[in-house]
Order: sequence, then C-alpha cells, then structure tokens
Amino acid sequence: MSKLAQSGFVMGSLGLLVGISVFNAVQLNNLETLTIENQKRIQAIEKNGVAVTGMVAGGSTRDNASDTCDQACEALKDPNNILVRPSRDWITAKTVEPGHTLRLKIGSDPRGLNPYIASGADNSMFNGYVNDFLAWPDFEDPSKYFPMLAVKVTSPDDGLTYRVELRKGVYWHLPTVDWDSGDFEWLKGDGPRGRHELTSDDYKFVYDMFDNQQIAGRISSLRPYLDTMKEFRVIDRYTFEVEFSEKIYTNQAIILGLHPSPRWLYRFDEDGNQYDDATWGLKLNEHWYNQKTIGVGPYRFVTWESGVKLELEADPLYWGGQPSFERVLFSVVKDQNAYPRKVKSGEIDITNLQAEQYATEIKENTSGVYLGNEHIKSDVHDTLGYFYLGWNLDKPMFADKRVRQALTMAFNREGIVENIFHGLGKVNSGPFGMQTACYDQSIQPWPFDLEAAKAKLEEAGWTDSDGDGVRDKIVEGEKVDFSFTILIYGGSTEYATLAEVYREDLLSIGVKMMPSAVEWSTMLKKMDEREFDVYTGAWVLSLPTDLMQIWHSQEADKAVSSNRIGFRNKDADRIAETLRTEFDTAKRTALCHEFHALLHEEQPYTFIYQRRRPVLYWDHMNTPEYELQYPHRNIRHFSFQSEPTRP
Amino acid sequence: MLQYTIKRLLLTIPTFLFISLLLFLVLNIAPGRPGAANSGQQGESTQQEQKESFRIFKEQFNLDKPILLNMRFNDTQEEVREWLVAAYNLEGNATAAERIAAQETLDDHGNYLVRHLLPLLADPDIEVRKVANNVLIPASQLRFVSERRGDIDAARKQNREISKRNQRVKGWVWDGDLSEAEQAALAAGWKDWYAENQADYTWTTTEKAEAFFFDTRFAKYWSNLVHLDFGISTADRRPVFETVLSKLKYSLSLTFISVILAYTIAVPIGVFSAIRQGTRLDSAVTVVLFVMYSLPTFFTGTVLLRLLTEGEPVSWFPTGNFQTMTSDPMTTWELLKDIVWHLVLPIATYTSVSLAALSRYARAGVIEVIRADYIRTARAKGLPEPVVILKHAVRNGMIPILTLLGGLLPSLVAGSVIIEVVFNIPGMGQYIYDAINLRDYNAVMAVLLTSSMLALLGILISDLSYAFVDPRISFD
Repeated sequence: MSKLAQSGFVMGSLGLLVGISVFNAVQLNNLETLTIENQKRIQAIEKNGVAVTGMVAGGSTRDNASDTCDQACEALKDPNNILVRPSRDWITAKTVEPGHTLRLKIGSDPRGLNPYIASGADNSMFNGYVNDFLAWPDFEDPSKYFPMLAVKVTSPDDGLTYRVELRKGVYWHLPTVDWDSGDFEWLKGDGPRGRHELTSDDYKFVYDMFDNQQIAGRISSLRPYLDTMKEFRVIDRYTFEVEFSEKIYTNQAIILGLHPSPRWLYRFDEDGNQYDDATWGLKLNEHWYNQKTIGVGPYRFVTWESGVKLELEADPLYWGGQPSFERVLFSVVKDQNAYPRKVKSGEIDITNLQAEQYATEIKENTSGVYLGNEHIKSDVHDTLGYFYLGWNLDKPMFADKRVRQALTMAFNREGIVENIFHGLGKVNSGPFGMQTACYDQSIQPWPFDLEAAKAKLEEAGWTDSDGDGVRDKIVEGEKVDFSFTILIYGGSTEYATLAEVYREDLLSIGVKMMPSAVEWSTMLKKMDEREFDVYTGAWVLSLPTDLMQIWHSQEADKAVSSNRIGFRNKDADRIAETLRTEFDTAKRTALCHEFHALLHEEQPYTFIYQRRRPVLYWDHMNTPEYELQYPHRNIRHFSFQSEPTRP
Repeated sequence: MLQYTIKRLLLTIPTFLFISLLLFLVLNIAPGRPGAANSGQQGESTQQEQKESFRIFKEQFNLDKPILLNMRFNDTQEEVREWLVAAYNLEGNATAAERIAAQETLDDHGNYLVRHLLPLLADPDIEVRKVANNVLIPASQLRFVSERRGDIDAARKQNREISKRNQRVKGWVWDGDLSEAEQAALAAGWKDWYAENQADYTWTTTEKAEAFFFDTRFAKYWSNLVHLDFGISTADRRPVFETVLSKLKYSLSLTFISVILAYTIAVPIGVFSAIRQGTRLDSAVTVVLFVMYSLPTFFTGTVLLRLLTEGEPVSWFPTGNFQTMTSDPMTTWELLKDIVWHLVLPIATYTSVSLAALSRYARAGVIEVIRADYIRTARAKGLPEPVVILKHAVRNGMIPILTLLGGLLPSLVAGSVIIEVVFNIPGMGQYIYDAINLRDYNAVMAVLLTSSMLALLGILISDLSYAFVDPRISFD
C-alpha cells in the first residue's frame, strides 16, 4: 500500500502545484492587462490636459492665426523681411482624424542622433522631424524662404549681416529621460509643463559649437562652408545677428537651415553639473544625450532601440498646429531584399526599391497589381543624384578635350540606363539637377556615335599605326597604346556590367580598356591619391548651387579634395567665383548655363545619368510629395487620406 | 585534476594576450579605417567631406598613434623638413599620394615634431619657415588627460592648465605675407615659449623606453581593457560593452533554443540510424540530412520567408524581426507568445544546419560502441534490446557529442550573421557584421575577444568533461 500511496501523494501534490502555478500565472496576466489599460487611460487624460494648456500658452497656433494677425503675419508685412509668405500651405490638409501611426523604414542604425555631432542622411532626416529650421525654401521658388522658427530676417547691408527675429512662444520638447526617478528636475524650464522656451541663446550655442575646435562631429564639416562667419551677437531674448566677413550667396541658405541646439542640456553632464569651459567640446563628442535628440519640431523623440526601431510622437504643443500623425515608427530593416515583403505585410507604409526589385515587381509586372494587393501603388521620383565617369586630366592621354568627347560618344548611355538600370534615370549633359533652373535644357548629351568618336580620335592624332587593332600615338618621343583602366566600385554588379558594355564598344573603335573592381575603402584611397585613369562616381547635389568644391582649380591643387580629376580651367574658375557672390537669380541662372555649356564642351566628366527613385506605398497615404534632395525626407508632407488599408 | 585545471587556466592568460595581439594587428593592418567609411553611402560621395573632423576623431580614438611600437622620438630634422616640403608641395613635384602620406605623418607625429620644427623657423627658404610656423601650432597642442577614471578633480585641474597653454599659441598663425620684423617677432615668441615648455617635447632615455612601448595604440587599448573598458564605438560613440550586452538577449534566445532543439532531435535520429545501420531507412535519413546540411542558411531562410510569410501559399509567421513593432504595452504572456511566434522560422533555419552535423556525430558514436564487447555481453545476459541500446550503448556513445557542447559556447554568444541579417534580428551577428563594414575597431575587438575568451573556456570545459563522463580518462 505504501508505495502506491506514496506515488499517489507525490503525483497529487505535483498536480496541485502545477494547478496553483497556472492559476497564479493567469491572475498575474489579468493584473498586468488591467494595469496597462489604466496606464492608457491616464495617458489619454494627461494628453487632453496638455492640449488645453497649449492653446492658452501657445497663443499662435494656426486656429486663431486666421482671426488676428500674429507675430509672424505682422513680420511679413515688413518690406525689408527676406522671408515671404509660402506659395501654398506647407502642411498637407488632414482628411483623416489624427491618431494613426506612420510606419517607415531605415536601412541601418543612425550613428547617434545629435544633429551637430553625428553625420548621415538618416540622422538629418530624424532631426528634420524632431526639430525645425529658421526658415524653409519655398516649393515654387527655392531661392525664397518662408518663416519657420524665424519670423523676420533682414540684412541691412545686403548679405554681410543677417538679423534674425525668432518666433515667440516656441517651446523645446521635454528631454526624453526617466522623469519618475527625480534625478532630472534640473532639466526643467519655466515654460508650460516645465519646458524651456526657444531663445536666441539656442542659436548662440550652435555658434559656440561651431567655434570650438574640440568638437569632431558633423559641425566641423560645416566649418569650411561657413568660414566667413565672423561674429554672432545676441541682441535680446528673441533676436540675434550674424556677421560675415564676405558676401557669399550660400551663407543665407546655410544660416536659415540651421537647427537650434539647447545649451541648458548639452553643456551639462547627466547629474546636472556644468562641464568645464576648457574641455566641454570634448565632452560633447560623447555627451550622454547624443543617443537621443531634442527639438522644437512637430514630433518628440521617444526611443531608439539599436537595430530594432526608432520612435517619435506628436507634440501636442507644436507651434505649427497638430501634426498629422500620433506616432512615427521607423523599423530598422538591414536586408534590402526585404523591403517589398515589409510593405506587403503592412509593416511599413512606403519604401524605395532597388533597381532589380523595381524590374521584377513593377516594370515586368503586367497585371497592374503590385505585390498581390490592389491597395499598393507605385511611383517613380526624380532625385538630385547623378552618375558619371571622371577622367584623370593629369594623365597626358586624357588631356585633349577631343579625346574625352570621343570617349563620351563611344559610351552607350541611353542603352545602359534602359537595360542595366531598368530605365530608372535620364541621360544628362551637365552638373546640375535636370529639374532645376540651372540646367540648360537646350544642351543635349553627346550622342552615342562610334563613327564620330573614331573621327575625333583621328583628329587628336590617335591612329592605329602598327595595325594591332589598338590606336597609338607618339607622346614625348615614345609610342603609347591607347589603353587604360577603369576603376569601379565592386559592391555593385550594375557597375561591372556597365564597364563590360563600355569595354566592347571601345574595342570596336580601337581603344583598349580594362575594368578594375575594388572595395569602397580601397576605391576612396585610390581616388584621393589620384591613382586612376578614370573612375565611376556618384554625386548628390546640394541646393543652392556652389561650384567651388568640385570644379575650382584651387581644389585641384589640394592633396585631398573633391576635384579629384584635376580640372583646371580659367573660365570655370571665374564662373565659380562669380556664382559664389552673385545674389541675383536671373544672373545666377545665366552663369549656370554658361558653366553647363563649358563642361559639355570640355567633358572632364562623362555624365551618365541622373537617377530616379522608384517607390511602393499603400494607397491610404496622400500622394506623397517628395523633396528634391532626399525622397520622403519630410513627413510633414505626408498624411493619410483614408483609414489605413494595410493589414 | 585540480592542479591540471589551474595549470590550464593560467595558460589561458598568455594565449588570450597572444590572440588579442593577433586580432589587433590584423584589424589595424587591414585596408580601410574607421571614420573613412563614415561619410556618405558606400560607393557614393556626398557634399560634406569630413577631412576637418578626421584629425580630432583620430586623436579621440588614439588612431594617430603607431600600432605596436613607437619610434617617433627618433624623427630627425631632415625628415621633418622633407615631410613639410612634400605635404605642402613646396617643390611642386610631389604626387597626391606622397602629399597625403606626408600630411598624415605630420598630423600623427604631433608633439614629437616640435623640437625639429623650431630650428626650421630659421630655414633659408621662406616657404618652409611659413609652413613650419603653421604646423607648429597643431603640433604643439598637448593632449587632454582622461577624466573617466582615477582622480577626476586633479585631471580637471590639469586639463584647465593644458587648455590655457594650448590657447596661448592658437593665434600665432602666419597668414599671407609678413614683414621681416613680424616674422622675427613670431620666431622670438616661439623661442620663449619653447624655453618655458621644453620638458614636454624632449625625452630622456627612460621616457623614450616608456614611449616606445606605451605610447601606442595597442598599449592604450590594453590599459583600458584591464579596467574592463572596451572603449567607445567609433561608429555610434556608445560604450561598446553596453551595446554588446543589449544585443546578447537576441542572440542568446535564438542560439540557445536552437542548440537545445538540435540536440534533442539529432540524438534520437543518430541513434535510430545507428541501430538500423545499412538499411534503406538509414540511407534515406542520411540523404535528407545531407541535403539539409548542404542548403546554405540564407537560402533556407529566404525560402521559408517566401513560402510561410507572404501569403503565397500561407502567411502563418511574421516577416522577420524579434518581436512585433508596436508601441502598445504588452503583458508578459503576450510578449512571450509574440517572441516565440517570431522566432519559429529563424530557429528552424538555425537548427536545420546544426541538426545534420550533430546526428552524424551521434550515429558514429553509437556505431562505435555497439560493436563493443560489453554490448555483446549485455545481449548475452538476455537483456531486452531497448535496454541494451538505451542504457548501455547510447550512454557511452554520447560522450563525444556531449563534449562538443563546450565548443559551442562562443557560437552561442556570437550568434549567426546570416540568419540575423535575413530575419532582421538585431543580435550580435548583425552587430559584428556592421562593425566590420564600418571598421569599428573597438566593437570588433570586443566581440571577438569575448568569443575567444569563451572559446578558451569552452575547450577547457570540454576537456574536463571528458574526464568527468569517462572514468577511463584522467589528467593526473
């Protein structure tokens, strides 16, 4: 009996134990569910409370702007104000109640989020949502700016000094810290809910960072652009002046495009102790808040989990009115092949595509339904990026412009864009964005014409004198074959195919060319050291146009510069210098056109094409508007036109 | 046994040192460098090139130091003059590569240049005088001391002094054309300054010996390492160790479950095909396992994703990630369910590869013992076949496969690069992949050193476990 009873007892108590554990787990789970629901309710109540305070404290939200003329509207009446009224409303009208989450993807983790320390396109994108600029280029005429954080910008001496008057009643977001711990009370300001108001000091601090040689981040790469900045003067709480030593056209764009940065946060360590004047720059490089970011823009930074996601939430106090989305969620998707899959599953609302994906999903898709869902739409947008071949002009072989023209004419650019890049581009003929006024539409690219190329080579003295099929010429008493190496980026099969097509065409006109595919860091080194005949390059243009960096001969003489090809041309120097200081739009355009014609004739680069970018998106998004430079850069232009159709 | 263990443990120290030296050298000699890959996309240049910040960046991460041994106190005045001439192309015949190399040498040698630059202020060539003066300013700057460890207040005080001294010479720039008198004034200023601060720019024999070994990248790295400081990532400027810890949960939950699963499935399969050795069923199992083993993980993973997540034919599982991307809070139970649901496919992929290899080991182990005398004895005793197999054969046949576990230790932590990339799981595999691409030396070193430490431990554990499970083996 004992054995049976014993085992019965053991089994019984075990069963009981399991039963109790399960019961406990279920109870605990119920409790957790309740807690979460309560938290949500509390958050909802808090949010409503904030919204009410916002109306009182803000005073200049868009709703009451229509009744009375506020500070910004008064300022625009001043004829000296450089800023103008926007040509159309810069926030897309909302057709759906806010409260939705916009889901986007990023291809890699940002390298820190402080806009002045970390670099990278993603980083400037986040800060574009979290923070605001002084002013924003107008949609119709990008040389004009409309007010954002600045309501008035004047320049009494036409471009030497700028006086900026800030919008009043703009408040910094609450820093994203653990407020419950009570350790961060020192971060509170005297605005509504402990927020700090935006003041001139937030721009003075940017200048201080700029002036501090210890800071190694992105701000130091801005230094060459603003080396003519002489002095920064705080006039009062909302007004400051910036003085330059020289009138440079791009100064205005750079100044107006700066984010403010709070001294009350970045000059202090995590315990609220101020850094030493001697070393604060070094400390800023590794500041405790650099993995987060803060701003005065429509969305407040919530969290960044490395490799997982980055999240923003709407700021109910935003000076420009209620943002379109309650939340913005960026998933980190490192595998580019997964982009279409992530759209299809509804994990992201919009994505760009690789050329190969565009070909399979869109171009070769005859059904008109993408990814098997009729709510998914596709589109192709212009960008400001272009591809080119850069000839090493220090090599005697490429010194003659007729040779470069011939080499361009032997390059089947139309065919390559159509067949290798699946038509995602337009063959261009000059260094400006084809959609901008600077680009002279009347200049056609050199045609693909092997016969004409042969004639040009003959003209330049390259003939096949020994009948070996390769052209040659006597250079400095020695016979040299027309044979060179093209340096290509090995990370892309498209470049390899491109080089192969080019190689065959060149061979047919008696020119020998060998492709050499290398890894990016090696390629960069070879380009810097000018150890190449010709390389395949890509460039993203910036607005407004500045030609000094790539085309001026003084850059060609520097050891490391963007003028890697060694382009030295007196006319080009003159145009670049004049353009730098010319403020008149019509004259600037004329200079651009002159430069375009010059480069077309000289062919230091063989321009291949300007890139277009394909996207896939869910149709609940308003037809997304794109900024020229970076597609889906600005989610202010995004909104939902219907309830989300994604799963 | 104890003696043996202690001996082995002591041996790991020099082994570890040697491994770290090797890793460090390979990493630092490999083409490319941190920071360079930082600007712009791969294969694409952007407008902002960061030459300016690169110098400060190098100083911050000790990248301006020589890698292993420092001989810079042996620089001569002729060499320094040559570098100046090359870097600023004063004779007009330097190639771009020479200019870049010379400029970099001037940047890196810093303080070591000062005593040679001063006499060059009186060089007959005015251009040399000019660049010598302008190079002296950055070269004379003293480095701030670390405020991260030790007596922080003293360090702060010292840094204030250093800042004051560095500021003093900042304005002594030779800009444009200077008159003879102005030039003389500048030179005189430097002379007085040098008389005051000479000690910082000259080296006694002991100081030379110290600099030879310790003013190097490797020594600086190790001096941090002994404080268990893996340094800061050159890519995102976060402390590397913190990031590694945060990544560990993703990799561990993937690899740990997979390993357990692989063992629980592989052993029965192995035993089964061992006792059915030579039959058609054995051959079938073998073929299937070899196919599974030969399929690369990126293929298996992509096929699984394609078939089971996209609704063609079914969408039972999520399209990767570790958990649902949502900001709504979840209860522990929901969270657990969610994670398990996300991990099914990656675990299946990971297991499918290790499964095949492990079951082969199990099969071989059992086949070996099944022919042993004591098995025949057991059968002769009249024991039922299941008892013979399970109690006698399998127990002994599993010894080699158990000891394999020790070797798995590092891979548990290191995760799987391919599976983590395909399934978008932000674990250690993805981390080291990105770190290598960005030449993030500190991050790569941290991950590799941890896994080599674990590998050393794993080997030790598996050796010891031999003796533990098999009484015939003894280390004494």
